[in-house]
Amino acid sequence: MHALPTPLANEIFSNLFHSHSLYCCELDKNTRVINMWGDNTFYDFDKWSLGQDLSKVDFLLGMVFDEPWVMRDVQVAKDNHADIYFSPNVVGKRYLAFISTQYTIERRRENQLRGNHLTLLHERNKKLIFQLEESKNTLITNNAGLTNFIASMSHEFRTPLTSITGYAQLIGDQAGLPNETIKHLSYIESASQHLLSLVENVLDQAQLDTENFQLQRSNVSIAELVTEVTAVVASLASAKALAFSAVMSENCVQFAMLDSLRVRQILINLLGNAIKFTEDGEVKLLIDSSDTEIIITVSDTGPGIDPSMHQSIFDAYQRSNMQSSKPGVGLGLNITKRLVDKMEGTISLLSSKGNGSQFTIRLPFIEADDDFVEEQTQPIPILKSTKAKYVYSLLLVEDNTDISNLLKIFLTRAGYKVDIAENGQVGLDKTRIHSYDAVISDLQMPILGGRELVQLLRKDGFTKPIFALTASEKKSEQEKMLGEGFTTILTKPIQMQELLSKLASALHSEV
Amino acid sequence: MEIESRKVCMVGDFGVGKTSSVERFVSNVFSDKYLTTIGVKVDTKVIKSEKSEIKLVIWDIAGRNRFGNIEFTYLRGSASYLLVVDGTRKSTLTTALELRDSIEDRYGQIPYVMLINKADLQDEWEITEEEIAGLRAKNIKVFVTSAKSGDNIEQAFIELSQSLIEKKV
Ligand SMILES: Nc1nc2c(ncn2[C@@H]2O[C@H](COP(=O)(O)OP(=O)(O)OP(=O)(O)O)[C@@H](O)[C@H]2O)c(=O)[nH]1
Ligand SMILES: [Mg+2]
Repeated sequence: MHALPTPLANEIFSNLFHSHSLYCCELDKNTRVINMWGDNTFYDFDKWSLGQDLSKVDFLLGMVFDEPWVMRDVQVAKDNHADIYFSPNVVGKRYLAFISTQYTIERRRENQLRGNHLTLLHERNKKLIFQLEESKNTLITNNAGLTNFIASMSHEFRTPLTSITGYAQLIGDQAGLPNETIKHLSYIESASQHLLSLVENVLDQAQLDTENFQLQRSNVSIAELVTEVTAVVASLASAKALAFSAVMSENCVQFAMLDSLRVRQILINLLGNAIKFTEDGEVKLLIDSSDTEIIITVSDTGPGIDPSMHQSIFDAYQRSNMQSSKPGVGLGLNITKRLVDKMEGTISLLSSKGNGSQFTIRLPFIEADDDFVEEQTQPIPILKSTKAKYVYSLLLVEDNTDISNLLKIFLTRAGYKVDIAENGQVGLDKTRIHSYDAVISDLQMPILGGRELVQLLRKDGFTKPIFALTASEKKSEQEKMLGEGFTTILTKPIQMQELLSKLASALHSEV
Repeated sequence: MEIESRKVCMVGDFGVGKTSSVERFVSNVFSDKYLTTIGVKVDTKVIKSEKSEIKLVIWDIAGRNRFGNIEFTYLRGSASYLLVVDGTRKSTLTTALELRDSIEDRYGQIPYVMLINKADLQDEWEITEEEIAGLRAKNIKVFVTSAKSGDNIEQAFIELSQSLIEKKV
């Protein structure tokens, strides 16, 4: 190997020297300092002096000064780490050099911490699986143990699940993530949400199975209970831009002895399902009563349920085909039905395919204590009604499903409703059936490309904004496209923030 | 007269509580927050006994983790070390014993004590009394500790110092 030309070596050295806070000393054979270079104040070494024996310094204690060695990332001062090199050179001189590593410590610490947490998560999950295996045999022979087992496992499941969603969120919060990562994170998020709701349902199911399951009746203000539930549910509805109303009829009994926790659970199950399966329109809750029963009606404008399914829909692990793509309802209706049974009530369903669904629950009630009723002086709280907010709907024409899925996730998160077409022809057909507030189109696609699509759309009289996604950065080309009918040209790779702000301004000027 | 210094290292898997044990012993503090150690940080504490006193120079070393094994260079010249295990993660006991073997391969037999830490987390505890008895039967000095509550931390360091003073190693 040849040495570097001296001027270059000097240059490199002096750069290193400035940016890495180099410090070096020469030691005699008794490890005493006989020469020093560089900025020792940086290391709090200013107390070192010529003639000092370095083998007594705390962070050099025990080191042997004959062979060359390196010690990495030694904390040499309160806020400084350094790599320490000892090098006895050929002519018998012994040098000790310090190069600061402080400027990378925080980043490396973060990385290591993230890795450590992931390893812990993984260890935990392995432990869970092991415990599951162990418990399996007992369970097969001992059915009574099942309930206890599930109850105790549910906690074990929740903790790692919380970490999974938590860390997915943490990672997702970072700026500038690659699109692939964002997509994968959204998968993690939705899969763990699914798992969480499964665990919760299984737990409820198990509790209902135990012999000592008992209703906990107490004096309840029905209006208050309903208001509490609707507060939760209304936000779910508004996130999907559905109208939601909760009405308590004037003649409805106001106070009763009920198991409020379980009634709340019934309401949340039914309303949650209604919102989950309804894409357009509204969800309504009506509370009424007869002399002996409280009557709860939940109706929606969702896809409806075929009459042939009306019986089996209340079975555990049964779902109507319609709903099979939606997670987490395998047990919800079954639990609802069983709770209603425990309360000696009835549940009925009025629905057919395409006409929405209406569940009616009749719960016999015991009158509330007089004392309780007398104490209740407040007027009945006003119940909730929210309007559907307007959600812009977009058509995304893109043949690459990776890109279209990702854009869909992103745009949906930003509050848009997104429909996908895999080429210009499908896109054109869709615009003739549905009305969209804007179209976002790729250019190169099979069957019908984006430039042809835009011309046909404009010919059809489509006046809404059309965005082009192009890989070409040529100004002249882009100008030509604007002339052909595109409103805005976006260059790939697509910057999400840019897309959002251009969409917002285009749609805004439309209104 | 200058007090004699003895180098002792904290060795073990990541996250077992090496840094926490040192902080408990040296400054009597504890934090729930996990700040993983990069490289090595050196702390000192003077231990006095009736006969004499020594300065413990405690090297708190980054634990074994997915980014690498521990750097054995740090252990050079160590009079003793503390092998730290997390009682709620049995795998850290295996790691500890492996690390001990690697140390003995490199530097020969160096006296050590074992801390089975996080004793306050009884619900998640994974190491049985029998296993601990088994370790003790192999002449390993085992302390069941908690850096969080402080249980046994001081005892472990003091006992280690005593043996260093007596043996004059
Ligand atoms: N409950 C409990 N937690 C502890 C105990 N000791 C440490 N911890 C926690 O465990 C985590 C890791 O502790 P550290 O002392 O940083 O572990 P370490 O061995 O130095 O880890 P590395 O530097 O990454 O090798 C921290 O969150 C501590 O708060 C303990 O005795 N009980
Ligand atoms: Mg540490």
